[in-house]
Amino acid sequence: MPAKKIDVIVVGAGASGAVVAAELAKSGVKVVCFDKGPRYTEEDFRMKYDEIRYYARGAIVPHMTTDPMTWREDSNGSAGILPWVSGPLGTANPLHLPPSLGTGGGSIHWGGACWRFRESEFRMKTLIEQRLGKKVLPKNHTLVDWPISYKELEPYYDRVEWELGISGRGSNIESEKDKGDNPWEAPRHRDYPMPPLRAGPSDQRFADACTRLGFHPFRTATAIASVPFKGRSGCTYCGFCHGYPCHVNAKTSTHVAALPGGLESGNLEIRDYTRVYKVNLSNDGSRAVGVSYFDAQGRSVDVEADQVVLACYALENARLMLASGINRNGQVGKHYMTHAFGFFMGLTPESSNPFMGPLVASTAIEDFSGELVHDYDESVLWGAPIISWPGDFQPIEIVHAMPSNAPRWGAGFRDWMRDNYTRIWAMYSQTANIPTTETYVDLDPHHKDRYGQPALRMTHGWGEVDQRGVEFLLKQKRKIAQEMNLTTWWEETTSPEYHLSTHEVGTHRMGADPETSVVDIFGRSHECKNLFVIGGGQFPSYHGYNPTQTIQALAYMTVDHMLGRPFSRTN
Amino acid sequence: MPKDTSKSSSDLDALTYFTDFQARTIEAIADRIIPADGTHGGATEAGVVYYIDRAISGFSIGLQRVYRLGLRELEHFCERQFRAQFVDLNPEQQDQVIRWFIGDEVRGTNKLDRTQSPFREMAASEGTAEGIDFGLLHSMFAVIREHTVEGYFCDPVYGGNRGAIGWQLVGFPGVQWGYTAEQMKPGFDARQIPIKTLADLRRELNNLPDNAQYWIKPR
Repeated sequence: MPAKKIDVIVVGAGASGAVVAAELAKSGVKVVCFDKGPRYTEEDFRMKYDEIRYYARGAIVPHMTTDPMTWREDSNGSAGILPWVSGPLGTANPLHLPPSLGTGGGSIHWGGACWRFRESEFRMKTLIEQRLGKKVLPKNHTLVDWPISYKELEPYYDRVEWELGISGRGSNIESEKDKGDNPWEAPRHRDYPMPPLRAGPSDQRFADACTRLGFHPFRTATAIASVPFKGRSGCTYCGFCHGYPCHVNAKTSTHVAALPGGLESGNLEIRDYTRVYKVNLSNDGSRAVGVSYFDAQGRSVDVEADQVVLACYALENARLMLASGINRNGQVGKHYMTHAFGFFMGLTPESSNPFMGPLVASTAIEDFSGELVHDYDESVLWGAPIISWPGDFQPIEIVHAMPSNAPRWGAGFRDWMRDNYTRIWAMYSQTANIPTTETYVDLDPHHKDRYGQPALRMTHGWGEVDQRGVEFLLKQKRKIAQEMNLTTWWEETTSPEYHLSTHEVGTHRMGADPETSVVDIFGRSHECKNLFVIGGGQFPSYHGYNPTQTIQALAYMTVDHMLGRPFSRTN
Repeated sequence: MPKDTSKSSSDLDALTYFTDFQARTIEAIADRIIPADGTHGGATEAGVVYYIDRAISGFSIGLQRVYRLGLRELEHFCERQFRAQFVDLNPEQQDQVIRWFIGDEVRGTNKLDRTQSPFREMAASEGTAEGIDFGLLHSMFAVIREHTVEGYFCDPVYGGNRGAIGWQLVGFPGVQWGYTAEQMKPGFDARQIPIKTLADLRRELNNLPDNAQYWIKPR
């Protein structure tokens, strides 16, 4: 029996892949979507309240034994399996591994922080050079501006918010004279479809302290339904959120927010537990003819399709392209960027009940974002928001986050947890490294996975300019902590041991010039005209914001382009 | 609110990997890592050793070797140092052993008295001295410390945190379907919330709460 014709293969059913697969299917395109992990149902996550399963043992994230990855600080070093993954038990903090697998992908375990990039972020390189001079960037930097503007992306940001479901309060709605709490919000056509989540128990303490310091606190937007949305429940504030699946489908994970519509159309087939290991090309390498994958039994299978979409994260997208020999201009894997979090934790004078609500039941300030930071300190190239993290902390996670001067065992350890667990408070920021010729990923010449496929090798260190940004924001956090009357606090260093934050981007840069970029603004490969490579890997520069809403906005742009729809606002 | 502990069945006191002697040794170590405080039970009462026993006969079978060889090495060490087995040392001696292999309770405070050890040159290193494999002992104690934390704060289904005493100690209500606006007010005494476990949730699956009591009121 001849195989059913496939129009489009989508590799990865995560934040962007599920959106593309479902939208194409709804428009009558025959799509097969592959994912390394399982196809999840609602039943799978009913009893997700399990810190051993999801946190200590990383049940839904890839592991080094199955998906090995290596790291070195610079090109002269030799790379070994990610060192920050090797705790005493050989298990890792899921925060510093690639995102979760299975339908929904990283949008299952994400915290749900949603940001539109501000207008200036799209011209970061030009603005740094105009405002601070051309010499401030590291000599070997590879920073470029975005090939699209905020204005062009705005309709797609809007579509993410209204199609998938984002909660928040817009501050700069075009039709409204009264502006909201965030004076620096980029203009938006309309508000979010749902109001912000209820704030975490001690969040007001942070907001009040920021106000007293003259900053401008506002409620952060979240990919969590605050009220019922398209048949999904509103958030119940259970407090097992970041790193955990949602038990009531309030979290905007694409297995509930995008895939069902695609499956209803009858045009979408999901093949789970499949590992795509190669994109197969035409003889001259100018077209993709399909992919090869290992099925759940480990057998190699070839499939063909008219078009192929790689949507399996910035890291695996780059690895797959390199393993498939798609890298004529040598740009694949370059320009790697990730976030340092500047984690800052302390104790409130009264109980903060940090086990209640999601981490994104939070408040943020943009006073130091992007180029705004230059008004305070011109040695910092690019700033970022400071964001509260008021909840979503379980006990084992807190043991791992204790200050270095706290007892690690014995009566003192017990007493520390007894007296302080319910007073935990945290805030963070996300500063990106400037991409240089020394921040990149490639195929590891020595390490292979159990199927004989080459592991990805990361080369990345925290540069001096990167650390300056973290330090500046830590200084502001200390001021806020003092104003909040925190009784004690402790901080992450400016050069954290991790080089993977589940926010990796830049590895298949988009641009107009086929010589200096990998894909165009629609994610279409310059080298293989019917291959799309989408996700954070497209980002030309990186900023103080979580990447996912922008990744999904770009995915909707890709869909419109593939379907020949006009480049425009949602209908 | 205290959790009813009367249901912990003696059937669950069996071992799936360790010998009785190994289990008693691990229990003694874990109990120095998290001792009882007079009100709350410590690692022993929480059944931490049963968590570890099940972990290494299942999920963490790769660590069987560390435990088997490490516990054997610990007995060599205690025999040479104290002419006794670890379980028969007094609490001060046990703490001293743990300090040698995990380090001071607070890093860098120098409570560690190496002059007390006949192996003082090597006690903090990763090497082997006088027939004792210190590297192995460092590894095993790091594993036990991590496993003790997991076994004390895990859901009771994993064999540890019996009667949810780890959660009672720190004031964690465990498995809650949600928290209401009232409960999320600043300063709310969350110890009023009855602690629940995964077993409680499973019993309630056919009668789940109405989510509307938790989400915000639409504008």
